[in-house]
Amino acid sequence: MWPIARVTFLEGIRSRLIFGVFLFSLLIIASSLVFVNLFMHNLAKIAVDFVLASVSLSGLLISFSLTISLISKDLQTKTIYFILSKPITRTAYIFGKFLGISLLTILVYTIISTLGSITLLLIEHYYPRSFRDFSWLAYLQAIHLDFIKISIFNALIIFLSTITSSAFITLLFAISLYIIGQSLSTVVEYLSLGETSIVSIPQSIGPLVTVFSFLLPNFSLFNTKLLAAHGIVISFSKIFLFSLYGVGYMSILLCLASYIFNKKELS
Amino acid sequence: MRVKLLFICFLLLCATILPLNSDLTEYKQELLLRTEHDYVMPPLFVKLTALDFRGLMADFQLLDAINFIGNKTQQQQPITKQEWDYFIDIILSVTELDPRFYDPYYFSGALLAWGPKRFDDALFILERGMHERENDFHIPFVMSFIYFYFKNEPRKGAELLQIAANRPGAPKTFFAKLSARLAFYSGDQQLGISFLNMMIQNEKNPSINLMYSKRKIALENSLIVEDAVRLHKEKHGEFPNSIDQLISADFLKEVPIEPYGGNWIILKNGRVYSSSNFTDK
Repeated sequence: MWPIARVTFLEGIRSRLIFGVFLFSLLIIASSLVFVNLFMHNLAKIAVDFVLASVSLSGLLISFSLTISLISKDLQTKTIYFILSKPITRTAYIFGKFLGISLLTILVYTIISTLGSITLLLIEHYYPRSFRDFSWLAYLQAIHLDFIKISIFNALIIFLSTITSSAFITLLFAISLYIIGQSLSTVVEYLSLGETSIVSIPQSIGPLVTVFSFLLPNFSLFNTKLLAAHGIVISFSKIFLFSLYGVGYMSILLCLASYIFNKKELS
Repeated sequence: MRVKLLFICFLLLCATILPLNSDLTEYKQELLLRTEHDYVMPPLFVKLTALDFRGLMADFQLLDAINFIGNKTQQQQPITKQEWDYFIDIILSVTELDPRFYDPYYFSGALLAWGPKRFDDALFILERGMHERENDFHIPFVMSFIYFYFKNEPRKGAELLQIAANRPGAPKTFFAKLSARLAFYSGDQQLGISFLNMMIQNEKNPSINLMYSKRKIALENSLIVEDAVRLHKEKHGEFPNSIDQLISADFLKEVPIEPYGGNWIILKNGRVYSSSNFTDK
């Protein structure tokens, strides 16, 4: 598993896409220096919004640019035969790919979060009063949970890649599932309001939504950017539970992916 | 030679094309000012499409609302009822996306009450903020001011000032004194001037500050006229009928400026008002 992870990580580092991701995130972080000046009071909130959004976007860009083609590229270029001819099981291949892309994500998150933190310190230096409610712990918790979210998403993409060999179809499904995973809890929230809700959602779709919300990954669960922006810290026991759900869900996806990939006929 | 020619052509192209940007931006802004602003996406739709970037979406929506009102104020264009409705809808959308965000509540309290005098709309938005930001004393303080000064409901205002005083970081002594003064001076211009001074100190946006300063000048000058009216009553036993009477009797050297372009009116009970009602024509 480790050699596959190492190669995936190194390929990611060598890829030019990774520099694009860095550049894009840096631009967003730098723009926060300009944007905070356009607001009045919650300057820390605005700055944290920008920094955490850039961290989150960098993760999504890695998923959509690198993870999508992680397996399909090996299948299309036939390198999969070369890899599997070595003493590497298909399960080790799947888990190795996931580990490699996770290491790459950790590296990118660490660099962008550090740059983001420097930006926050800089803004805090000029507007110390706005940072009275700011909490570094809440900020780090948001980054940690966002990393868990993007890891589940990477596992989901790997799972989809084992079902279809087309990177485009994987991309379409990944986008759809990401949007559903982000919005399902909002729909459930509005449905639970029933007739008191100002928005009319047909109650008949309630059971269907419940089934989907149970089966599909709830990405919005890991979105604590707003809490971090307002300096609200989550208890460590809850962070553990969030992480447990995330690690458990990605394990299920990777096990399923391994099972399907082991059954797959590579011709 | 050919390379030089191509380079000159490239420079000419840049010199022609790039300046177009500012002209086109200006033109588009003019068009936008003429466009009817009446529709804001429903909050649920905005929440769903924002995905996990709700905070960022709220920031940009608020910026859009401030720019819209700021541009209108800067260009001295009247803001219609429909446009204020549009502003309120954006603010409601922002508070739906990020209910703890202070700035939309701040702008609602400041702009809706002083501008179009839509006190109930301002109070509706601020009420949400008071519950969402339960440790913030500013929001109940602004609400108490609106009840006291604009709606002439001192009891409700005093209740809110009490809520504000009990929140962390609130200047309790000042609020207590203010509460007493507000109760006594309810409807007095001095109260408005003090409040505007506070707003001007906290305001960074020059166009909004301009709006506050204009209002402050109007209130200060109305206070000058009121003082002169009081002196006239003390000396002659009756209120003057017009501002000219105050000048001819040397209670005023000149007619104080009415920044909204109206004329000072002295009522039979001695209160001073302006024909402009302190609103831009």
